Amino acid sequence: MSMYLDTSVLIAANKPGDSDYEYAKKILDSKANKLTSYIALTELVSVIARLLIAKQIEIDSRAQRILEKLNDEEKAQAIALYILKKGSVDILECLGLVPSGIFGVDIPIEFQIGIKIAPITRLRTLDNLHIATAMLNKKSNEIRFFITGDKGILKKSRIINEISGLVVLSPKEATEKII
Amino acid sequence: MAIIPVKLDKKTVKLIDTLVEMGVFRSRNEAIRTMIKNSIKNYFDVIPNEKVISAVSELMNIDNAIKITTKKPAWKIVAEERERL
Repeated sequence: MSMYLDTSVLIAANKPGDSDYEYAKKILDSKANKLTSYIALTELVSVIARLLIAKQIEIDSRAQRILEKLNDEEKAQAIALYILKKGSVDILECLGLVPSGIFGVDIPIEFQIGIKIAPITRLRTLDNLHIATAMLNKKSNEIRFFITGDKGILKKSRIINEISGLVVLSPKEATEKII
Repeated sequence: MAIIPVKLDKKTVKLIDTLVEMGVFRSRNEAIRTMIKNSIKNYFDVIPNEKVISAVSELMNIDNAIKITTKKPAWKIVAEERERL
């Protein structure tokens, strides 16, 4: 049994003082099978790059010495990969291209499902892409839970469960129910 | 489709012609197009680079190497990122 971690969980686990910090950290420190997607990786690098520019990331002095050999782009990548590796979070790959059915262009299958569920969930595009990825990998990776700190997604947990069978939980609920 | 004139040495042309004669490809055009399409992916596979990978393996020896200090809740940081799309 696996859980899909939304980017908000990965950020919260590295943000002491956050209302989800303790729970997210507990999830990442657990032995549970944790998965996320290439979409989360992209998002994580982007968020970290912005936080680095805004000087909103405190870096340990030993880590600072390691990271000073890298340029800004590489630093953001290294921190994102460190967060994922330290939490033993595996990244789900893109499952391939499929015809979009519109304009004759092929698109990643995650986007195809994202388009299908968008009118039902009425969530943001990236929220739908995360859900679509978890849905597509549900059977092959035994994903049962979708963990997120996002209030908008949590509000739609019932609808998401109806269309995907995934159980949507906040980090707090996840630690109480499955960790 | 765009047409790009490319100079190839005789040996490479001969190898491409051999593949066409063997029936692997229907034409030189198809052979070159397929080979470029298949190998172009390899250049993207090098990301992240060796420098990043080696830095990450060094970072793995440190617990709590980074700490996000912004006052915004984690979910809000990500939500804002999604709203930028």
